[in-house]
Amino acid sequence: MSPMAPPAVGPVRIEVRGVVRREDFTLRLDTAISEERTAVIGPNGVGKTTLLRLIAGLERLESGELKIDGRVVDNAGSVFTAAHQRSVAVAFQDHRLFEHLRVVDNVAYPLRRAGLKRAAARNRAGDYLAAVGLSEAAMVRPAQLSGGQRQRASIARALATPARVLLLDEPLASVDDQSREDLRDLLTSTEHRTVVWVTHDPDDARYADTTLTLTSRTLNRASSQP
Amino acid sequence: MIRLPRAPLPLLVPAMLAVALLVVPLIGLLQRAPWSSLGTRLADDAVLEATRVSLIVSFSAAGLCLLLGLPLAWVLARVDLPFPRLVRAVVLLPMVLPPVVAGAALLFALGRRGLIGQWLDSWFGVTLPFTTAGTILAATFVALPFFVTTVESALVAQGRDLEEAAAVNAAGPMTAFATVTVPSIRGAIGAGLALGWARALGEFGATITFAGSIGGRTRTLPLQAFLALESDPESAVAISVLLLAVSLGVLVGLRGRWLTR
Amino acid sequence: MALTMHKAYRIMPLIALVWALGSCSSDDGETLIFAASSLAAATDDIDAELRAEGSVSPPEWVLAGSSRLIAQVRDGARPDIIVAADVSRLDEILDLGYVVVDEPRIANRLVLAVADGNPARINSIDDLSLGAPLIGLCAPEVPCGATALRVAEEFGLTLRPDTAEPNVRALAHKLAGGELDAGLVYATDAASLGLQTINDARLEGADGCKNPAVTRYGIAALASPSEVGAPSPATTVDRYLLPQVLQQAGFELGRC
Repeated sequence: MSPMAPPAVGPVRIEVRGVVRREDFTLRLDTAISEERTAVIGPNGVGKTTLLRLIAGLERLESGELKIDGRVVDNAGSVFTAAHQRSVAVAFQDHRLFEHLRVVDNVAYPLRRAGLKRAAARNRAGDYLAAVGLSEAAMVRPAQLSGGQRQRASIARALATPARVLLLDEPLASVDDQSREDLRDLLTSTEHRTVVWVTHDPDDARYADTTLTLTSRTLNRASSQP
Repeated sequence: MIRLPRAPLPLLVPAMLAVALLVVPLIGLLQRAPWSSLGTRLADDAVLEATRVSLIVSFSAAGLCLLLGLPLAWVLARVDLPFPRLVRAVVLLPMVLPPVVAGAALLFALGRRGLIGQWLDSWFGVTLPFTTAGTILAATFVALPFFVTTVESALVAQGRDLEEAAAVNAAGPMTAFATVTVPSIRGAIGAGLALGWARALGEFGATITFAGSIGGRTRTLPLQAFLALESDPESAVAISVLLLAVSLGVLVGLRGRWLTR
Repeated sequence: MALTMHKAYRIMPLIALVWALGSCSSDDGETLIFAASSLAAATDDIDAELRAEGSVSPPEWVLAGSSRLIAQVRDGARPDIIVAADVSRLDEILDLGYVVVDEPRIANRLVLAVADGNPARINSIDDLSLGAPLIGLCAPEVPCGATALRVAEEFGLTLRPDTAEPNVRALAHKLAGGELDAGLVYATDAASLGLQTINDARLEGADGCKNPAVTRYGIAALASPSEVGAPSPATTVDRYLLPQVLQQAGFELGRC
């Protein structure tokens, strides 16, 4: 379905071994994500969001090493690839839409960064909005959207990036049941992208190829789905 | 039937007192204004010249605030500076410094025999005092803190969330600044510009001390009013009325265009 | 650099002056004297002399432009003595209980002052017409500026100032700080700030008040003192405006 499909290669492998320290907790990581669809589960405050932020380049390792697609992007020292150069897209739990832009221009934003002209970017953004069922809200400002609509807009924006890694933080938390089904279908139909999502809902985890469980601030091993 | 605003009395009374404090002196000024001769007094060549200088100086100062102050506000809000409290205090200092002292300080720094001014003079032949550029500099010096604090507090309130969102959408730091940070605080930028501009328009002490007073070059409306006090106090009142009208016009206009969506 | 910082302090009295303008409170028995800004050159010395003599305590001085002082009196201020840089302005307060006092006859003279070392090589008042050096004058609205205009008219000069300062102290301080190359200031300001001056015979004529560079101060005092047994206006003036101190400060006495 992707209007701008990345080249047909396998899933991106993400390997992380190291420590992230936040004010309130320390996260020790030793894992690899290598499937197309991975769900991250675990209790509140365990560091699920921090893991996504680390992969996206919004946090730094205190020690250890993070590799994306075989390349070291953070070695807790001399190497640190900035977020905008990692080709990793994020749909934040709190949406973070650009309030000064119309909804369609929010989704067109990454397309503009990829070099598309305004009209072409809007055109393609329309396709992503249609995919998340938000076509009718294209020309309004985000402030006029409901919580569920905001979430769908932020997912559309992440999908519109050319990034081969999509990180979704509680992507289905505030949408209604019908939308949830649609979005699940959408997320499971992406091709040639590695999708990692954080969730509370065991139902959502079922759609993943693997589940990564974070416990007591130490992550480890991915377990394969039955 | 007039409907009284529904506000608790302990808030309403001080609020009305505050309004009175602000408005009564203005009324005092207006009732002293020589209304019948206002037109001829303001059409005076010296006043027209001072108006021109004032507009050039105040808008240039506002422009410099934007050019220098916007990056400064961003750095203050986003970068972990050493001694952050000290840095912020230094940025605020021109707000509390008596303007005459500010002018003296500018002379010691940028005057012909000043710390930097002596090199400007001997290397480039540039002398800032007694020039329009010097007047703009003095106005910018006093206006900058108003702009920077307004914009910085908006940036702090906004947080890094949107800049992070821009980054994961492949926007580099400068692109994020231009396409996300600035547009989303444009109300605060407009408010900061209005404040800085107004401060620059009313600036007197630093200007007279640093840039002197010569018609068409450095003599702004406040300087002209001060001078007129010596010879023709009614003319000084007329100029003050003009200053009030110009600033009210621009501030109301800006509020309409900038401060609301 | 140390030299520059030393000179920095010279502008400080200017700041003090501006503050003083805002703080002319009603006195508590002290004698209150409103005086033209140029009197600043002598007030400290008069205070010191009065303290040394011990006959009367030093007065409270309010220094400002003469027009401002007159306006304040018209608005209700009641100083015991007014010294204005322009004799004719005293007419405006004679209906408010003031009388003109003729002695001492104090005059001041404009001199050609230059920045330390005379970097612009100013030779005479003719050089004030040149475009290149930075020239400062007083604004025509204040007495020292009006006097400068008279000088220019008399000697056929086209003045091209780079700044017209609102008072002579501000001008003198800018010369002292080296920000201006040359300017016409009062002899008293040149003396008190130690300004380098250039002799020009045209300004120095000993012909008293006829020389356009010379201005005479006007003195007025309250005609009817409030207390019984208080001294007469002339006596009050005599007590505070000490001729020998004024002369030392560069004022000219009795010649005009």
